Amino acid sequence: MDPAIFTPERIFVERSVRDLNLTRRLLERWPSVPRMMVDSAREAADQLSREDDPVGAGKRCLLIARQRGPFVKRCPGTSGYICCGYRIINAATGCDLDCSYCILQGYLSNPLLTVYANTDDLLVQLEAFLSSGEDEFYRLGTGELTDSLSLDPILGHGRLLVPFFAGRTNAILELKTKTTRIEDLLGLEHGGRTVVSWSLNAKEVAEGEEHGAPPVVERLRAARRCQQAGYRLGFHFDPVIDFPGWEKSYRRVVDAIFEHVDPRSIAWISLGALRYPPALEEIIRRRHPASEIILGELFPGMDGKPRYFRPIRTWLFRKINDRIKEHDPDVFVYLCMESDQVWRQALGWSPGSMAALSRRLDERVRP
Amino acid sequence: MNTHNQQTRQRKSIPLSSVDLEDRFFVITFAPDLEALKNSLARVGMRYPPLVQEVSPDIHYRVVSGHKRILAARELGWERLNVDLARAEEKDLELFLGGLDENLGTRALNVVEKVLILEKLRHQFDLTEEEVLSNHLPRLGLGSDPQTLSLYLSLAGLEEEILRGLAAGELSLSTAHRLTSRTPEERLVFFRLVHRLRPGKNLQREFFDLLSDIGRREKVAIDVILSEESFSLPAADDDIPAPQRMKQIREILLRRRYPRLTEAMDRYERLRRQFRLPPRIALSAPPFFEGKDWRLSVAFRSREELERAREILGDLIDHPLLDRLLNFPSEKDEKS
Repeated sequence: MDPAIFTPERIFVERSVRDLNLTRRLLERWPSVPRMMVDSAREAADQLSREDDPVGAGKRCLLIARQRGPFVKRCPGTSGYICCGYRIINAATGCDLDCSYCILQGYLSNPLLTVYANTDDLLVQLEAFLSSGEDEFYRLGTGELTDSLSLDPILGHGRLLVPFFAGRTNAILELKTKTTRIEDLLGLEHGGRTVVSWSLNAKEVAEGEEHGAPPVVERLRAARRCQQAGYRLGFHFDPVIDFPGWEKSYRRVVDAIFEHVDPRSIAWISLGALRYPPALEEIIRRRHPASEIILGELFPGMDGKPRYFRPIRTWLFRKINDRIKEHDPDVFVYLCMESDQVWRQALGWSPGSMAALSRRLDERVRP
Repeated sequence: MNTHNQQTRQRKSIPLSSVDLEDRFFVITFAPDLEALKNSLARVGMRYPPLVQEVSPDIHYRVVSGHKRILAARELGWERLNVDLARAEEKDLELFLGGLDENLGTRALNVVEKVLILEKLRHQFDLTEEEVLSNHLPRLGLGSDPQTLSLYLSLAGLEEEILRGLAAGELSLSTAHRLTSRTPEERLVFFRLVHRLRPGKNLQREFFDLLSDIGRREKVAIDVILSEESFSLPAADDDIPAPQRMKQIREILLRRRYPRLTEAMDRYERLRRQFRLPPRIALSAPPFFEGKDWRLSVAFRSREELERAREILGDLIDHPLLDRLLNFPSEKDEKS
């Protein structure tokens, strides 16, 4: 069952966006929620700085702000590992879900769930970016710094972006989520230019670590409905967690994917093992004292981020990939931020570079 | 204000036995070193009388300030002493802050004394967090961060034995804070290990975190782990120097916390030894076998030694196990 949709305890509004349409719509939606005008995101964040858990408090508040930087950025990737050449659309940051492993807990200087109200600028910037000729093809997504669909019934990013991408031949939009909030997507004209993706995990991880997210089987039911509406699908096993019984548990999730959807509609499945910036460990210990994910054998990688000892990652990836391939050898599986060595040892091949991986992924979704 | 009070307070001589030294309502002194004070009292007497509050006339006095002086006087066998009596209208908080000012002006407070002060201000005198943060935390040299206040307050519930170790600098503040999340048994057993071996701040923290993680993973309490022979025997063996015992304990903890890494490192060492490299040629795998950069260092003193090293490196490149080494750990190594 999908938990009740988000209602903020407090709303902060940057003065510069108070008259914009999205701001008005959001304030009308919650007439009784206390609101406060602020000059900047910093001023709103300062309001939470004395809370025992500013990150938790930030998830219960909404900041309506102006995106002053570029809406579209390159995914920063990580040094020393092969990345996929993704572009991020920063239409919102923060998330109302509370996954123990989420890097946003330590990543954002502003812990508030933030939505950028200057959506006209977003469309103008997207138009300019897609016409820039920087690359031949672009994969873009809204789900790096937030969940793409968790607040979609409220924010309407799907309604804004899916039709925008529908006629594009040089780009694909990916909406990544753990939720089942797809209703608005189902009736949209998408033109096959949107991939709806789900972050999936073993039942134990989904139940124990992904607080506020619906069970995996419900995510898969939502995926099936999107497939029926003609969308291409993506699945992301990220972060894969090493725990007693992981093999059987992940195998069940892989089996469930193929029970729920037609593999021909799967654009890609990615695998990424648990990794995080070093400072996140202390945050996980403090904010999620019952979580045992940090008890694995994690060591600093080439980028300084703790990640599982290499043979553990290799083994996790290989077993999950093998199971996927047993169902359908044509499904494209890739590793998220992994070394050439792990690619070869786990999947038996490697793209060798970001450019090559990016091309392979582009080919999956080019018109 | 304090000077004015001192001028108008009544001074009298009272039996030392009428001062209740167990009553620590105002007392912030913790684990005092009395020797210097005793010498001073023996030489020049009590030049500044302690301040006391009369609880029941002539029978029971509570120490407001000068607790150390009274303890020293008692150890010197004094039977009577001059004290200043707090006036009835003087409020407890006012007296406490006056005593605190006196202490801050004359000596450095130890960590536990700061804990006691903050605990009393917050919970005995019911000051708000805001008041403590803005008016008192900075006076103790602790800034005004709520997390610092929270850290100090959390330590108030630790056992006296542990607080003594904290005051003496044996136990670090951050490790003490970590101990607050454990049971009294776990705390004491861990503290006694620290007390015995005296590891530095970083090693204390590492020991605690390793034990804590092992305990969580194996669902065993820290005190139970430390009572196992593999830990208790080296810890108690005073014939072995403490640094060596700490190294031994750390090794056991690391093996238990990271079994797959330590097993792989053992296998790697066995493999590396098969190359029979001389001590002056060192070959190092990337840290944690993560990354591409291997390191090779050659120490030599002459052209002849360098030429010999070149031959050895040539043999290394041609060695049938080199690819296996460079791909270590592979699936083959995992199974071996």
